[in-house]
Amino acid sequence: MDNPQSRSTFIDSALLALSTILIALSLYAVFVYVPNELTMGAIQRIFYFHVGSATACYISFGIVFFAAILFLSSRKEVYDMVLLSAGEVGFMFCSIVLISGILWGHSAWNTWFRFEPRLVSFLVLWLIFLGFVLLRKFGEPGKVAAHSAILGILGAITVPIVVYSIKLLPAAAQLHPQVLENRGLRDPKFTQALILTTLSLIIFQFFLIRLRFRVERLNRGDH
Amino acid sequence: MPQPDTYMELFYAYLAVWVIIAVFLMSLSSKVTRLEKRSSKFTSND
Repeated sequence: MDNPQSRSTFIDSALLALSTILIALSLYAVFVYVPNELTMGAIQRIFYFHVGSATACYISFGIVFFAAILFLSSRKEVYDMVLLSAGEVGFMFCSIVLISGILWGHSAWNTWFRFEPRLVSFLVLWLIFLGFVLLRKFGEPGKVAAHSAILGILGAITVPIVVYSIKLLPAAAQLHPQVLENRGLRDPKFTQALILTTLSLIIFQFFLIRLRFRVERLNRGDH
Repeated sequence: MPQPDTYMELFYAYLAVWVIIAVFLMSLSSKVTRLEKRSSKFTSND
């Protein structure tokens, strides 16, 4: 375990094993343990992975924000690698939130999308990180790190706007529910399943960021 | 407008979640395997 490479492999394996066990338990909680929600019925079971993925995506974009600031101030390559890894993993979770939200919305409200603050601001966040991923793929090699750091900061700044956008209009004027703000999870089973799912996705997110970081390190020939 | 089938929507939502995760994970795993094979080849040639 003294060897840094074997320590890193051990951490990766531990994160993967822990997240696999917790995700399996989360699926059991979502489909067996939690009762049907009274208003929405079975479709409300999307909620747990939807909110869990949103939390994981916000944490990734928080990492992007700090790594981008550290990269712009020091120009150290390691911060660029962290920025890239967290940005791509965050974009993946962002896509999960968007697609699961669209399908949930169609079932619960009978519409795929509506122009209201939470849905529009989240779509803007997704588009910014889509731009981030495309920039990393097709950007000018010498400048892409600095450009993507600036775009990453811009994207991360959008996160608090997405979170607080729900307060811009009264609840009655919006489709997106204010579940946590209104303490809508009255049955403790709902809260337990939400905490378990969110925790499992956050641990899985750290595993993915480390894996993506490893790819980038190997790609740049730095072992 | 016809009402959507709740259970099918739930199935599609979870299918989408797992397809996205599986594609991302498989792409990263295959890249790691390929790059590690390449780097070990360079190391053994040295």
